[in-house]
Amino acid sequence: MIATLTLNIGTVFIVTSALIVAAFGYLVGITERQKKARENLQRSLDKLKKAYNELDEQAKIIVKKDLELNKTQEELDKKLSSLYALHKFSQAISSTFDREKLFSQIDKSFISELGFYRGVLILADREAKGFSIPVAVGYSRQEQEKIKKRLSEKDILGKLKQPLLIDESHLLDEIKKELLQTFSLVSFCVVPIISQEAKLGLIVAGNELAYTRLTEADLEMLSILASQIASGLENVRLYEELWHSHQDLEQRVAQRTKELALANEKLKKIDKLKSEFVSAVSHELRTPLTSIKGYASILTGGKLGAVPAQAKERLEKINKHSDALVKLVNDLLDGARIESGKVEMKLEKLNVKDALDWVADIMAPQMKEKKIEFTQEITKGIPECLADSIQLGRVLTNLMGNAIKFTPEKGKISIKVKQIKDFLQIDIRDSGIGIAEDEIAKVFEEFYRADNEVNQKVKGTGLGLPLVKRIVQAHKGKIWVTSTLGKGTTFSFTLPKA
Amino acid sequence: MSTSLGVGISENPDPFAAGKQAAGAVCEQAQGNYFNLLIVFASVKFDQQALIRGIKSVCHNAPIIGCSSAGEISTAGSTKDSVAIMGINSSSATFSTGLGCGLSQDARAAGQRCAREAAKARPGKRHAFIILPDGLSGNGAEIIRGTQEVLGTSFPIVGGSAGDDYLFQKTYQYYGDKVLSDSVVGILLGGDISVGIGIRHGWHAIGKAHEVTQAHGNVIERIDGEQALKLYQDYFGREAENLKDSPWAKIGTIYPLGMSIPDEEEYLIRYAYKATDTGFLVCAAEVPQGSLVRLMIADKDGVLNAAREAALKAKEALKGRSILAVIIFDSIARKRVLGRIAQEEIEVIKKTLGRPYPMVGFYTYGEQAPLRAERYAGKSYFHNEAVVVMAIGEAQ
Repeated sequence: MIATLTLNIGTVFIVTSALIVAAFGYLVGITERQKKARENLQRSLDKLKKAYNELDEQAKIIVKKDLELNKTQEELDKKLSSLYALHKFSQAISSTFDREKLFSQIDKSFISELGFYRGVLILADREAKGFSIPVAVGYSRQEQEKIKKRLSEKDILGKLKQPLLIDESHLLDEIKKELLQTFSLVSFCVVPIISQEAKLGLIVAGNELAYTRLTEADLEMLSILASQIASGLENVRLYEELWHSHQDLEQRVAQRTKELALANEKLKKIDKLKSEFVSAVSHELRTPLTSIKGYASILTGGKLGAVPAQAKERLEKINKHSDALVKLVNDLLDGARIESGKVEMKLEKLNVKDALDWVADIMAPQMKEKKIEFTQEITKGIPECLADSIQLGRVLTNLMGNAIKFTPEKGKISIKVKQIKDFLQIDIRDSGIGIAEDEIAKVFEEFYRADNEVNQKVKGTGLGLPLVKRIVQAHKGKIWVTSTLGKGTTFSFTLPKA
Repeated sequence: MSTSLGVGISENPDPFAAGKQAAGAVCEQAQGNYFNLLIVFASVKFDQQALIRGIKSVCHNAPIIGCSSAGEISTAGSTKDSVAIMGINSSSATFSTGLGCGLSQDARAAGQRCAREAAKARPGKRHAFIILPDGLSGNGAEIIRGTQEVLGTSFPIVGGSAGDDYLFQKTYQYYGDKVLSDSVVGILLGGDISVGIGIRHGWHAIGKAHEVTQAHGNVIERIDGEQALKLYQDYFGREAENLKDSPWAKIGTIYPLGMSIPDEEEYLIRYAYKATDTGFLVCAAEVPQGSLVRLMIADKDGVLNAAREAALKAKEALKGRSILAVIIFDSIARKRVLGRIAQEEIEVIKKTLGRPYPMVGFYTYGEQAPLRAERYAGKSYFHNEAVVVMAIGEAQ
């Protein structure tokens, strides 16, 4: 548009100039007689002159408009490239949680893309009560130190309330003068970096050269950058916090795990020591006990002369108590040996029914005495099991003994055998006094005896069930108990099928 | 004849690394590191010595000729804050270089010295003299006159005045491993090659014609009997106030003064890069006292059209011989007018020439090229706002 207009005006000028020259030439040659004609020409000439001047005035308007247009375009171009740079920056920092990476984005080319020549980012170091300069473009170390010093002395950050556009050619108030002296720039912007109402620091960017005077648009750009830096720093802070607490948690878990492992290790050691102690003590006890029993039976047998009835009664008590003691020692010893793997299970194919019959036979007198109704139920065609016959006998006598012990007269005891997958499950059920719920879990613990009437009357070692459990486990079987207080108890255990 | 060519640029902020990187790219393209000539254009943002050291670290013995600029041009297009290098290795073409110092004291003598040094090397077929003078010292037209006194008034003088990224403070000229200012460096093109030159600006005159009533060399003191600056104040109105304190160059480069010259289609342009406190206008070359000048104005289409015409002229001058390399001297004012679409001008030139030939160039503070009209017999002049397209082709 302007070009065409310019061309038109240009043409008019050329034509006009030619006419003027011609008119002058003509005027030179006029005579008095031509006065009238001259006046006419003068009028035409004045008209042309006027038109010529008017056109020049129009040219001035065009130039002014063009100047305006060019300035606007430059501003726009600058704003566009700044916006693009800011966009790239915000993309880059949104994906980083690393302070150093964030700062590395603000480099020389970024500062110049934003239209600045020098720039500096200053952060307040709360703990050290000083300032750090993570980014400095165009400032020497010396200048940076000077800036830090001045900032500390003059509390510039405290006084800085809002983004400022500073130009040395304008009238300046106190704070602006300070800033001007601090940053040695001719035209620059200063923007505080504020996150959650806390001033983290400030960013300064500007030019040393008068011809690149900054505008409000530059201040806006730097303000956007400042808020992006603030949110970037906030992100980094949150991430670091999260990371630290996560680290802390992991450390604590690791510490606890280590402590637990140590405690566990200690417990194992103690347990081993206990087993060794029990085993050693049992051995030491067995020898003298055998002697005691031997001498007592010699005395009872009258081989060393007749024994008075009263003495015999006492001797028999010695014998009976010694037997109990031997049993206790044997159980302890067996438990310790099975636990330490010293007792090898001699596994063989066994018919469960034979084993049960054998036990029922042994226990028959006691059951008869208490008038207990005993039943056996074995699934037909059940396979043989794989077990050590002596140890299985111990398990069955122990469990049957307990059942009889805790079942009142005229009670019921039943044994059921069934196959579950690769195992045979044997349930021994009684209609006895049952076990309190809170005690069920403890019955397999060594030396634990349930608190009930029967146990108060009848003595026991508290070693029977732990031994049974060890034997079953040594067969790779499981043992458990279900019970209802006052109604009865069922002990169940499994053995591998042959 | 065999000619191998390479063009490289680098935007690496480290000067040594940038020089090394760009020179490395040149070697890679030319498949070798021996060159008869390295033409280097670079931003003043680089430490100039370190930059040259970087180039030398790759191309040890190649003669370097070049200058600082206000934006670089290469086959890759228009860049800034960069270095652009073209390396030429030719068995048939000859490149003899010259240097003239002290432009501010005697521009004509410096031009003579530069041309004499380049011309003494080897007689033979000569095609053109490329000059790269400091764009901020001396009268650019006097430099050309000096060279013409040695090479002949009709000998084609082509070139661009060194820039400094619009700072208008100091420009540099490269001569071997020397970095100089206030100087002119030159390359005399000879041997079995051909050269096609095109120049055009695309600015139009606007408003009245004004007479330069007082001028000394490149300083216009009075126009129409008044302070020279007043001319701009008349046309710019309120904006004129900004002219005095902000550097003049920002606006002066877009609205230069034009002198009508007989038989030429376009005006011969002079822009002022500085206004003195006394209201005088300092130009890149002389505006003789008594000249009639008019304010000039441009638009984007006109600027792009001019580039097309300049490229076409250069291509036509080669009369169908294939192009080996292209050198561009492009006025900063054009870049300013085009703004964000500055890249398009380079594209227009490439498209007009037909193929993306190896290309190097820079944004200048002044251009040198012959006038077209026959009555000037190929005499070269100093220009502003112009784009000079110089195509180096195969032998005739």
